[in-house]
Amino acid sequence: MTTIRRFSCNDLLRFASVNLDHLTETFNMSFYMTYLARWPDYFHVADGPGNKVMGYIMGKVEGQGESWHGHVTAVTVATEYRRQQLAKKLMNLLEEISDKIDKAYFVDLFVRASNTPAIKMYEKSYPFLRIGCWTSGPTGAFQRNAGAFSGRYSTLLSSILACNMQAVVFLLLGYVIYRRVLRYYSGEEDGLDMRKALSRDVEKKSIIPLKRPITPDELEYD
Amino acid sequence: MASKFGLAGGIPERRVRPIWDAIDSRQFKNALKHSTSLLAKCPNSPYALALKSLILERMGKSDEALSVCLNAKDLLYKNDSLLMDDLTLSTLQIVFQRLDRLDLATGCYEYACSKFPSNLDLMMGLFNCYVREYSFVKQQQTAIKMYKLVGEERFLLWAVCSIQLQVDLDHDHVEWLQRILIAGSDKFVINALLLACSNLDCSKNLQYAKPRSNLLKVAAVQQSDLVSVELPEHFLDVFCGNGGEKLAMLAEGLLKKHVASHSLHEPEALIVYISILEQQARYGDALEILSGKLGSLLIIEVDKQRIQGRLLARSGDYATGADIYEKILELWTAVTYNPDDWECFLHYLGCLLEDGSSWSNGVHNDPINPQKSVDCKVSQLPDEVFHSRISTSLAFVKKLQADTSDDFIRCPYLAILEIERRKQLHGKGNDDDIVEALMLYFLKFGHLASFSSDVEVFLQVLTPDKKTEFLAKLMKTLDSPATVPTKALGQSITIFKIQELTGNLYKVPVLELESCAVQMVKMYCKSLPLSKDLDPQESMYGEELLSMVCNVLVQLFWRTRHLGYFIEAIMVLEFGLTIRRYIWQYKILLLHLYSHLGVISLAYEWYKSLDMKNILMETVSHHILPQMLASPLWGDLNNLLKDYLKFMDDHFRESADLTFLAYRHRNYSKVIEFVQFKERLQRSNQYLVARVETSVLQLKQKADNIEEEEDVLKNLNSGVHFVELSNEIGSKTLTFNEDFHSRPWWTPTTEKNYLLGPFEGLSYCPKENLVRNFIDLLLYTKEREENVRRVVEKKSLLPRMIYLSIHSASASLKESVEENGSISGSKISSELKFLLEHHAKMLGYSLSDAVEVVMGVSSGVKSFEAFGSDKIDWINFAVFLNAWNLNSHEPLQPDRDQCGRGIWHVVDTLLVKYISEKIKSMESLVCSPRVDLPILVQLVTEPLAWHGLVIQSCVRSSLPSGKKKKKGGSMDQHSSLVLNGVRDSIQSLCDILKEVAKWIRGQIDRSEDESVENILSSLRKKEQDERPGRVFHVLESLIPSINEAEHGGRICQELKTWSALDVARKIVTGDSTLLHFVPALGAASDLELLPYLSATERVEWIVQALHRWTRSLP
Repeated sequence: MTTIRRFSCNDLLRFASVNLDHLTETFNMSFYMTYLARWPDYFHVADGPGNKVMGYIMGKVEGQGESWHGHVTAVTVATEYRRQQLAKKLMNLLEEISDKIDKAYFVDLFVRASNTPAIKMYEKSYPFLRIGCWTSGPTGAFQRNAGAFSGRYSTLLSSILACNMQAVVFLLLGYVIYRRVLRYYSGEEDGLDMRKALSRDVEKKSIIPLKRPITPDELEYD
Repeated sequence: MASKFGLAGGIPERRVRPIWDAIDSRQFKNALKHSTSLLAKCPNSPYALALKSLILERMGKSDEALSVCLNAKDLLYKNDSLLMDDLTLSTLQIVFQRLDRLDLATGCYEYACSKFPSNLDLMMGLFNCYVREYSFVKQQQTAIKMYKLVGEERFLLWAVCSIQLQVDLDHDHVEWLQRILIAGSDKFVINALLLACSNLDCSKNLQYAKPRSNLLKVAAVQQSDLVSVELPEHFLDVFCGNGGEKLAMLAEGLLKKHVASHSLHEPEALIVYISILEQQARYGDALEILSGKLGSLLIIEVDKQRIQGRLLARSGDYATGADIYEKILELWTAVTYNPDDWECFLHYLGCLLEDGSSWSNGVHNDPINPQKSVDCKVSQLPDEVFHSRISTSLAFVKKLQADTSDDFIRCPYLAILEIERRKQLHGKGNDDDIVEALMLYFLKFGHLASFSSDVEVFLQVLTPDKKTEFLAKLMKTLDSPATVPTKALGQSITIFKIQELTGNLYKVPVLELESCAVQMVKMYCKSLPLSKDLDPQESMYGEELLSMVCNVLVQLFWRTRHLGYFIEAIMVLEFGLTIRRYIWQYKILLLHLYSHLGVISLAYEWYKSLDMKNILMETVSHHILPQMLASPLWGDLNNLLKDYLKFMDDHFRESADLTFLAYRHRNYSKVIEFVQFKERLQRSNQYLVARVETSVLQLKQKADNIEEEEDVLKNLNSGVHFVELSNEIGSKTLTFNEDFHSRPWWTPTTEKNYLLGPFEGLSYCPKENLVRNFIDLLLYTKEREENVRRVVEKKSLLPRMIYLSIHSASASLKESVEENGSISGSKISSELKFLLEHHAKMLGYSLSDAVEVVMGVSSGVKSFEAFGSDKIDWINFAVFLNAWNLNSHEPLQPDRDQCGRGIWHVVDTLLVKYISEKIKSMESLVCSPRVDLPILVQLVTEPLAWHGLVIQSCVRSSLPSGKKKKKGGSMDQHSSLVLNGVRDSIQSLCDILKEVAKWIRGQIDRSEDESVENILSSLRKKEQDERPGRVFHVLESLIPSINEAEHGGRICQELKTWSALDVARKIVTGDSTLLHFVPALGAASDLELLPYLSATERVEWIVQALHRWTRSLP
């Protein structure tokens, strides 16, 4: 039960119950407002009945030529509304805007490369996967807490055990690991640059994985 | 940066680059060296000077920076042949802005634009300056000039936004001008209006001048040359008519003309165009534009349809509106989930039932605390039509249910409940149907955590009997639980939540309630294995149960007054946090439990662990701020206030630049939003309180040393600004941005704490709902606003009253005060009297009546209850009254003694009596929460401290200064009477402080082990008697049965660290830590040692100091 609409400044005063979660970063005002001022189509909030904030997504569109792409900066869902596929809906919306409005070639995001032992457990025990809070960028963090994905993907899981849970979740949403960025997170942990091709990239060139890992200096965008 | 390295003011790039490089790498000394050599070569280059001022400012040399910057500006103005480029100007602008001299930056750009009227870069710079100054009229004029120059759509929209901003002006300014216009003389009115136009751009407000328009028109024209401001272009137009309307028409006219010649090319421009038409209720025109060629600017069809739906509904064409919303709801693809769009469904239903409530953008609909349900009208439709529309909606909803296969689409199912609710509102409802619909919804979604909040508004329409019936039906489902364990757990939790929500738990007897808590905690223990493999970062199954157990235990404490239940609630949450330390819900409950217990240091620890930062400080710090304001944890309080004010002030500083960013990126709706948001934060009640409290805190911290206190007062401009604030606050509309949803049931707002009163049973239940309907919300907000105003009004008088009291005391022993050379004894006396009158008025009395009350309480004729809830304010009043009386020649009361000794005695008696009363009321911690501790702390750190300052001032003035001798005769007699008063007062302060010290020593000296044992024994239940402990027992007996195979390694590991003893010890230590802070009151200089002394040593030390003073008196 979700009304997804553009995020507004007043929502900053309403999102406490989402942001109290320890993994959801509360950025400074200029960060939020820069996103709102520059990419308002990429910043959406989901309202539930009783006008409660269920979660939100932040992103942007950037790049030149064939690297013109949408980027997901953060997705988060309040504890109360996890396991309802909300994160997926928010991601789909961002992809649609990148595709239809901005005619981008792909959407990308960064996840931590650390492996977690939880995958087998998910595969065995749960008919769905969960995504709760996830923030990209070197200071980002991730939590596999909520949202739910249908069990029809479970067979896929066994083939992607080498990835971490966040990567798994995004793989199920159609993202591929495009490249590894060495020591991307605070100079310590590698990041995975994941991409999903959009309709404009007819030949799906944007998602052909790079063979060698790159360093953060080689990244074209933040 | 490339442009920065071009030719700037004729300087080649290679010379400038090293300076910028050094600045960027923060090597300011190096930068200054390069800058000096550059200036040696180009001494008259404004750009070189601008760079130097920039470096100086970064080095913290503000005065030098300003002077160099002004030199550069003068050079620019003097020498027409110099290149006036944007780079030089923007560099100057940066420095001026950082020095808080936006006006100078604007002046430079204005001058440059007048020299080069067709330079677009300079005009954009000027526009940006006006954005920073929130000077909307000038923004508009500049944008129009740019538009005329290059004809670009964006500049037209910049102008339109600037017009919109004038229309949406802050209510504060409107109210303010209204007041002036009603009360002021004509000349005053004119000046106010001119000021408003020049500084605030309040042209909209000029409409209120209408009744006097002719006179004002003449006066404005006549006087305009007297005031150094230029009248806005449409000053007189707006003056005589409805400004808002005219402005909207102006904006529309501009857009219309542009569309005719150039069309529009940006979706945001179209949105602005439509909103301007909508503002004028021109829905038909807006719809026409949307369905025409311009409509194609909105690429996503649904976005367009939503606007169409809204316009149709607002225009009253409900039938077409309903069709549009139906279409939107039916859109269901792999990436679009519109059948789940609850708001859209409400709009659809609103259209069908021809009820426009959900579109009325009522002024009272608070965007932060919106209503939980649509405040719909009783349908005016004839019964037949109503029934047929209801059937249509039901059929449509059923179709949606059938069409959507997704298990997570809740809207079409909850929609049935909304339809039933509307039926009931129409008088055609049936409670049984609602219960049935609730049951169906439960069977489908009862396992979800959001179930209870989904159905909350629908439960409210049921009668108590029907609620019980629903609950009974829910209980029955437990007979055949869901097969998936997590689902079964979810359903059980939901049933507990519904019991909480319906108030059922407030009706059951104590033992039954306790059993319920035991049941919950057993369920929690049973569900632990489900989470055995989860990552510690991940929410565990059944986590909510412990929050609910805590809620029940606190209720048991409220009902029985057994502190054991309260301690048990703490233990339960601490236990939960041992297993997983990230659960913010537990932390918030704990911080409130510790606050109520009086162990504020632990409460603050948990608050800190929540890592509240940035905007959360505005919305969430209400959990701790009020308690901290009354606590002796001054260092922590100072950090809390400092961080918060820094966040707010930083935002106010950078907000305009972000607004300009929105202009540049053509996101016009965000422009309006940003400006409104900044205004909202600026009027935040919490911001106002924090500003005043920061100053009061500084005064409290330094009250032990009169010289240091005087330094603080000097920095506060002797408290003058705060008196102004106190006068102004009546005209301010305050905003309330706190998010109260996460507060526990027993303290739903900062003002309420049910635990302080007797058990009220069901009268408070269901859970206090602040936003049940907007009348409640309005009343509540109004009440809070009045409350905050009163508090701030009173508090903001404090610094000035302290300042005047210090001077009044010394003036009583000297003839006049020479310090600062200006303020004479009689002026002090009259001003202080005025403030006392004001203070008394705020307490609800005239000055003489207030004096009567104070005397009455002091003499024992009246009890402290005569002071009501403002006891500290009353004692403060007595302290300042005494200070005034020392230097006043007016008899305080007829027939009372005239030397002032009587008032000394009144103050001493009040302090002694009230402090003793509080000490007596606080028995040991384990018997009851120490709710009186904050009052004791306040007494000692506020009125007693202010009184200490009056004494210090007297002592200081009585010391031989070597200056002129005092006059003989009556003055000497007066002095000796004052000094007698001082002596007695010191003695009485010594006595009461000794009593405080004794009490503290008694508390601290109690054996820690004994206190810990007391806490733990409160949880040990003996046999069948009604005593706390059953819940705690379940948790304790879980520990031995924990094993890795069943519960997983992590949970086992974490639980090994659990110790109830440690928690009890933490409470005891936290409590005594707090006690060490209490007597931080000093009353003499040289207090550096204080922090290193124990509480009792401090008091003794202070007492000694007081004795020393007595000895030093002549």
